Amino acid sequence: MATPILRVHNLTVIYPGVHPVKALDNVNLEIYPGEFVVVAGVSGSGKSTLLRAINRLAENDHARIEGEIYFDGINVLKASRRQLREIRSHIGFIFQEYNVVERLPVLTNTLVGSLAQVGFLRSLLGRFPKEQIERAHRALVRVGIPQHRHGDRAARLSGGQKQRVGIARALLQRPKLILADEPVASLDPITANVVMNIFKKINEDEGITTIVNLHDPVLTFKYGKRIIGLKGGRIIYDKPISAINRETFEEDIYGTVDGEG
Amino acid sequence: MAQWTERARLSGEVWLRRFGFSLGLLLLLALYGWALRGVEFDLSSIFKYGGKFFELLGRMYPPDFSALPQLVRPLLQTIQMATLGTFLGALMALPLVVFGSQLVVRSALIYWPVRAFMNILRTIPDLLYAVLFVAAMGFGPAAGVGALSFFACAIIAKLTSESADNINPKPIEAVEAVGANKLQVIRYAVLPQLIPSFIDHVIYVFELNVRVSAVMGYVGAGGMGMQLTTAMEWRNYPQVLTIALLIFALVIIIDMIANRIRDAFVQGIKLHPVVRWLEWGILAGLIVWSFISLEVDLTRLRRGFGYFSNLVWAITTEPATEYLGLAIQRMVQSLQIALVGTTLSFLLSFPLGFLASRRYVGIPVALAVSMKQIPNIIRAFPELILAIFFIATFGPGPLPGVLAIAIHSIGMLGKFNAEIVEKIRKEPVEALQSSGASRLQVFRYAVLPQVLPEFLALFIYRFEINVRAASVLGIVGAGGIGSLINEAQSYRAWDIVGICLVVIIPTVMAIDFLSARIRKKLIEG
Ligand SMILES: Nc1ncnc2c1ncn2[C@@H]1O[C@H](COP(=O)(O)OP(=O)(O)OP(=O)(O)O)[C@@H](O)[C@H]1O
Ligand SMILES: [Mg+2]
Repeated sequence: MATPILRVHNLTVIYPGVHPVKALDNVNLEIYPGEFVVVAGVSGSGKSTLLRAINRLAENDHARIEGEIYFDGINVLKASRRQLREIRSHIGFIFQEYNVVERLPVLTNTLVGSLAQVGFLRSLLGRFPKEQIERAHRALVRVGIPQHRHGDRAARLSGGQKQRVGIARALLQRPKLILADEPVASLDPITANVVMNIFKKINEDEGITTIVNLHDPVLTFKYGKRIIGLKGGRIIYDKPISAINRETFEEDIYGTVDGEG
Repeated sequence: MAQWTERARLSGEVWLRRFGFSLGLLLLLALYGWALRGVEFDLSSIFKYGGKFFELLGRMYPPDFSALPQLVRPLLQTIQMATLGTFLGALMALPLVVFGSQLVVRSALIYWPVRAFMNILRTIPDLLYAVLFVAAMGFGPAAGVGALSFFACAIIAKLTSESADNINPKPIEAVEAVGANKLQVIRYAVLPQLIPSFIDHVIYVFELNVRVSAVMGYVGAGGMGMQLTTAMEWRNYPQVLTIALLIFALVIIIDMIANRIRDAFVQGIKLHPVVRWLEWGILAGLIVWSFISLEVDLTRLRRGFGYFSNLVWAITTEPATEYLGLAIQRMVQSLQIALVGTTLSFLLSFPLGFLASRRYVGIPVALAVSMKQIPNIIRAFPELILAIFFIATFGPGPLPGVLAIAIHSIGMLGKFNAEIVEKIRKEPVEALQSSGASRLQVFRYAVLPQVLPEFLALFIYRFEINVRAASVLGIVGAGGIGSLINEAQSYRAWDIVGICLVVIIPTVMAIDFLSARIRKKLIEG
């Protein structure tokens, strides 16, 4: 295969404190362009920490990140603030809680994704270029938000709709990589599938590399093409879906259903 | 045997508690005795000279409305000063709030100093700002605008940063994650969440500023207050009454308008774009008009800047330590004034609170409704004007300060007392009523226990506010540390003014801190 778009080498993440937590322990990973990867694991296994280490959002929680992370050949952990912003602008991040600004209109929330491409002064004045505005409308329609809702405040949307705005916001970045941290954990099963299908379609149509964190085994097996299993901050599985025995995988990752594992 | 010792232990505990209670009571009595002496409180002189107060009022009546045309300009100036002061204050407050927020700047090296600065600004009372700015920029409205903008900035920043601590941090991460820079994060994730409460506080501060702006001319800072000084000096009492009434009317009208705007804003009424643009236009016009007619010029600003750097220089390099003792002594008197004034006010407003709420006491509706209006009317009379009246009655000294604070505070205490009484749970009341308790018993065992902690919390909060008032009323002659500032100011003794600031700022800060702690304890139980 080609060179990896993302290479994680000996990654260890520690949350300092009275009782420091080692959330990731010597993780190694290579992700290739166009892959659709699901990171599976129970709560607390380190899924969020992994994604948040890749774009260094984990530093907001004062996490200590050690090791090497190469995105598109650049060492993320060595990047300056300016370089980091450049790197982040190529990585779309989707949050479990959508993280939209409730008081801003849907359209503006989406346009936020283009901030790194818009002139600084223009962005502060809120005067986005026509081209970006049109892209935002198209992205929203594409993820299933009809045109007449684009002027509404985000607060008036349902959870599933807010997550669609979150995806549209990421699309405006023209990302090379999408990181989605439990994007459907707060949604009902039907909506969850609709949203997962959007990710799938983006990955298939545009070849955007996608890493999705999921804790639900059903969704994991339904959408994952390659599955990485995390447990206690270590990678215990990293295989294409075809090579995975579902029974033993579930037992290893989640423990048995009757709790004997 | 075992039972006997148990009983002995119990009665020992009872005695201990009684002893503690008596000791506390004794200490409290001693505190009040000390404070009453400190403020030269003397009922006989109140009764003896109290008549003079009404005599004074009598000489004011009837008001001299022929003076009205002359008062139009000062009245407009008062509004202009309040508008411009609030506008500039809001402009200054916003960056303080943003850069004082942990959520926005994650470095304690930035947000701690900003927060400390905010807290210092907040401790300086309104009139003290006025005195400082008059000294800095000379007589006139420019000084008033300077003082009001700092006063406004302090309060807006304080209130809004409380809201800023409660904004949702998640959208901030989302905007950071797309590669936006700090200012873009502020523009798209922080400000949209902050603006509603910010505007609410700006409107509130505009109300406050109108009150302050109306009287601060008394120390030379422009507006109606200057007219008041002249009328007082010429003993033109009918004109004094006219001015007082005009200020009173202005405050009430502005409060009414502000409330309407706030309600419309809170309910988020959708306005037609034309109406919206019209409103912005009116607002912008008002600000520009104020700016032009107040003649705020650059040389004055430069002069003001020089004054403040001199002041800070004097404080840090050659503090007038020989006056420290005197300043502390006067500050203590200010605390005594605040304590006695607040207590008096509390005693007066206590029955008012119960009467204004007719739910449990059963008084005629009409009486209750009219009782409710009394606090609102009293609140609109600034302390300063009351202090001036009382000084004219009793002569300069702490007593007029006490009385001014006592009367003015009835406004707020009466209003909130009534609200507390309205809010009590009715189940305990009904339980007692159904057991055949008398009205007084119901009051003692079902009403009082419910309202007492909240009353105390309110008392302490008002004390906190009155400490600020008591530190500055001396500027017009009503005792406390303000009187020292007044003397120092007239001799241009900056170093003494400086030492007063050095005493006032930490004292007010400490009182604020303690008050917040105690109130939290009281309310949370
Ligand atoms: N801000 C933080 N401070 C301290 N410890 C943290 C912090 N965030 C996560 N941790 C710890 O790091 C470990 C991994 O957490 P992480 O959030 O990455 O797990 P997760 O797999 O995403 O779980 P979930 O499914 O609940 O989101 C956990 O033990 C957690 O307690
Ligand atoms: Mg997680």
